[in-house]
Amino acid sequence: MLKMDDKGLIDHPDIKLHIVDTLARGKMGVVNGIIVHQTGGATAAAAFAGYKARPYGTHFLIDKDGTIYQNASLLYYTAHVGKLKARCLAEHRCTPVEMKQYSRFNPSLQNRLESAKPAGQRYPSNGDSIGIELVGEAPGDRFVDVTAQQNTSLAWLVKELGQTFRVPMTEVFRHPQVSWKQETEASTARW
Amino acid sequence: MVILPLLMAAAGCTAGTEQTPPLCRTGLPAIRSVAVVRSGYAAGPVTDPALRCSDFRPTAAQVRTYLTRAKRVPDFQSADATIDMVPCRARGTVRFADGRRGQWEVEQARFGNVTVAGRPKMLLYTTAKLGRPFFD
Repeated sequence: MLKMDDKGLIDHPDIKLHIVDTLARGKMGVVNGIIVHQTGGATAAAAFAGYKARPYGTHFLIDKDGTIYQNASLLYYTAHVGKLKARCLAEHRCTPVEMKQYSRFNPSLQNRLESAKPAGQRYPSNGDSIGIELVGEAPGDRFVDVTAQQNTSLAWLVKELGQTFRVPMTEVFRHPQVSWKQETEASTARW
Repeated sequence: MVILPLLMAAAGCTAGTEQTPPLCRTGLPAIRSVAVVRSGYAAGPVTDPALRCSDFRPTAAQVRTYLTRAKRVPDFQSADATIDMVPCRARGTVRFADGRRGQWEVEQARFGNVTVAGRPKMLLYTTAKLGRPFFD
């Protein structure tokens, strides 16, 4: 269990605070999931510079050496997911009506219909998920492998956040599972 | 919170939303010609049976429209948090009115890039409706 103060900041010796206020979008009620990303850049400094210039990013960042940074308060959600994929398609439990709606590829329609569903039936979205980014570049369109130190830190952080916010492991996803992204993003992440 | 959009505007960029990244002027010169080298291919696994990359065969005129309307996405992080990225792609070359040449690549969901000789790859996106074979 992680100890969180009234500002949504984690108090733990293994988590360094690097809060970028502009990442916080709005109040986050219940946390229903955790989304694992890779940054697309080679260094933590590049990711921090991006957060400061533009309000897109995650609550946590894990550097290549395994150092964990908290970037945003856990009382607020951040913009890190994008449009939702249809979860029922991946889990083979769409209704006949949904199968017809999704028979023609249309990511905007998928997002609109999925966003109206309750948590659990859809993937976690910006508004109800914690984002974790792993520093990692994508030369030539393929993301580099997650380092062993990153995976060790990720597994610990996911376990602790899962216990703290009562998020089951079935609700922890790689970014391309929940949204239309490059398939290799976080593909070597383990938790 | 108020200062960031002002800085973006000063840089010639929109502020962006939760589903659209900041979009900036490309600064590219007028286009003289576009050639499609390859289209209808998948640059990764196709995970949705309704997605058929072989259908994505934009003409040179359609790509020219795309390159003309597209805006610059300032970084991958904001693109990754907002834009749909699909594996269906086309790529080719572009020649500008000032004589420079470049390579372009575009995905069916309107995320793309252009590399002009001697410059880093520029990420592109447009919210404009382009019609088939693009997804609007």
